[in-house]
Amino acid sequence: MQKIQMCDLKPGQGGVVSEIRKSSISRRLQDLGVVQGSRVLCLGKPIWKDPTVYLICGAAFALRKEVCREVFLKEIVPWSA
Amino acid sequence: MERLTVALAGNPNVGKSSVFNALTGLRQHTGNWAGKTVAVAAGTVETSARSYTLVDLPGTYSLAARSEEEVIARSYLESEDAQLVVVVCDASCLQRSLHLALQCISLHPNVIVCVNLMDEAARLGIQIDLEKLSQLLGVPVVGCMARKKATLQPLLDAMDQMQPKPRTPAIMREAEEIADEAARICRAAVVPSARNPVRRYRTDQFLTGTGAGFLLSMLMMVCMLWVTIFLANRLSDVLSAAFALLNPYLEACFRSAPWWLRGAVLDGVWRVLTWVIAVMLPPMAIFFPLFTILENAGFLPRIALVLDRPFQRCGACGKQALTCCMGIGCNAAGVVGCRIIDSKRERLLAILTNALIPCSGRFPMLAALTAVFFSASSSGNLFEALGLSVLFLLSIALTFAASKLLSSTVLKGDSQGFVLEIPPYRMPQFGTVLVRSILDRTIFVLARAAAVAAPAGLLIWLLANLKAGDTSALTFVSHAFDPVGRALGMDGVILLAFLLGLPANEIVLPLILMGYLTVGTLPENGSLDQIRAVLLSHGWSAETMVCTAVFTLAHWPCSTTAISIWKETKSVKWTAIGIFLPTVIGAFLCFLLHLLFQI
Repeated sequence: MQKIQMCDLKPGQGGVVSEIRKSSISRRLQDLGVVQGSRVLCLGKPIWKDPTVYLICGAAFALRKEVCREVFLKEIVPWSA
Repeated sequence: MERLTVALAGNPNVGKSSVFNALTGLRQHTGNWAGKTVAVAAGTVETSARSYTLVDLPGTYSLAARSEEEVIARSYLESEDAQLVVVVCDASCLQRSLHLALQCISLHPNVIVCVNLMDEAARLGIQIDLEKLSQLLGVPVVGCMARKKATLQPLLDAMDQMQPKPRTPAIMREAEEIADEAARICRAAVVPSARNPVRRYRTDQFLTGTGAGFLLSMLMMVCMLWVTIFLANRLSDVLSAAFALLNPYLEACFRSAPWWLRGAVLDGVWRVLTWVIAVMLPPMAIFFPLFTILENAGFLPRIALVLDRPFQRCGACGKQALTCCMGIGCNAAGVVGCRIIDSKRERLLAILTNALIPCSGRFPMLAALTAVFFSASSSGNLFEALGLSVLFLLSIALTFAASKLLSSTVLKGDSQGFVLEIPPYRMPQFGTVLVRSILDRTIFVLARAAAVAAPAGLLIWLLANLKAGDTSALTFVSHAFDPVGRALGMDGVILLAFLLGLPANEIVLPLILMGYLTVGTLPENGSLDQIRAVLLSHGWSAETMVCTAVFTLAHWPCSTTAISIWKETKSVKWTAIGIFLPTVIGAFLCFLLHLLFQI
């Protein structure tokens, strides 16, 4: 089954993180709250479509596509509180 | 009275500084700690029971000690100095703040958690059970709204009630474990907002994601410049009139003094001083607060968000947009502010190109030049604003070009992971901002006027009055610079003024004018008509105007900035590049324009 990456999320879509590929940036993401089982929500994209803004643990962060490619999601779900 | 040292830790953007400022008021100072290079702010606050020294640690997302801030925060917490730790958390995103709180709790036995921004959380419909939180964390938890000083009393009470336990060696817990626990605690103690965050992001999506939003931002910039010019001109007129009233009295005082004393003081020092205060100060004093209000409201991260992609194409990162914004206030501050960029290569890029952004010292000169260019009439203000906007856009374009140049030559490398927090918009504290920034800026400029402008004015007067036969030293030197000046579309006097303006850019225009008036004096007051008259009668054309404006944008950084570059890079090579890069760019462009105007 094709894995869903965080960068696949469209504005308004959320997901639960299933795995983060180890990279130089993965520890930083962990500090922000992107860990296995946490929920992320895509809030929007600026005019050039990159970086995308995500809601992580209640705060909004802009992350570049190359960073989000390393984060995999279990499924895409519409947002619920 | 018992004295305790308290470390203030917390994520960036949680209002830690607000808590610090509210508690310590003016009793604070920045200083170095334990020989580290990053300055740490410390202050004192007293209660009836104890006297506390608060140390404001840099904002960090974690104590994993990967960046310089994290290393400083971690090592301070682990040192003997910190007897008490207060972790400031953001009520509207408690889960993330808890990561750091849990790390602190595992490292230090005396922790108080302070949940700030309770009003923001309430506005979003978030409910936090502080009691439950305290139970689950095992430490005292208080809530507050740092903007309202009175709400900090529970924090002070909790600090008073804390009996410091002795330190024991501690290891920090694993990130995954902490993340799990933070999530569990939040599920138990926090009722989340029912509001849809995507709906809340709509304004930002409009501003940053649509063409219309982009145009609106541009319009906002033009408006801001228009307001600045409008108010600054009024203020200039008032100050000029005030000085005009004073002049006769001063001249009366010096009537019986020897000519050289009268000349040196009145025509040299006093004229330049009044010029800088009446003409250069008002734009600075007005633009800076306006800009700070925007910054307060939270617009800057949005600018960085939109500019990240273009910066990436030039080998840099969006955070450079933030340092550019800081550079608008003062290039030296912009250079120091480059510390927010994690990658060393990208930080150097930002440091070396910061001088291409016109600082508040150059802004009045650009404003005066555009005003003269558009022959100020009643609608002249709008064209001035447009002209200034074009110049600002040019400086941004030059920043991109210079970054691209550097990253293709001496600073090659890949761009690294980019993480930028987009905090919610906050209502700017108009009162504090206006008072603080107007006062700070005004006092700073006045002090610099006394320290730099006055001696420079004296020097010019001396040069103009040291005569060997018919020519003065001033004429001699400016003629020497003339060939190079003319090749760049300007002239010797202008170039000399730029050189003498090394200590502070705001004296360049007064020096140009003084250089032209062969007796080395300035017109009575700084009216634009007089400026225009002087410039035109000394051969200024459209070419001179354009080239001088461009050279103002791109020439060597002022001495304070150059020193800051040296301090931040600790390298002669990079400081030299930092000085030469904008100069070469400016000279190249001016030469090109000079050739174009010949056609």
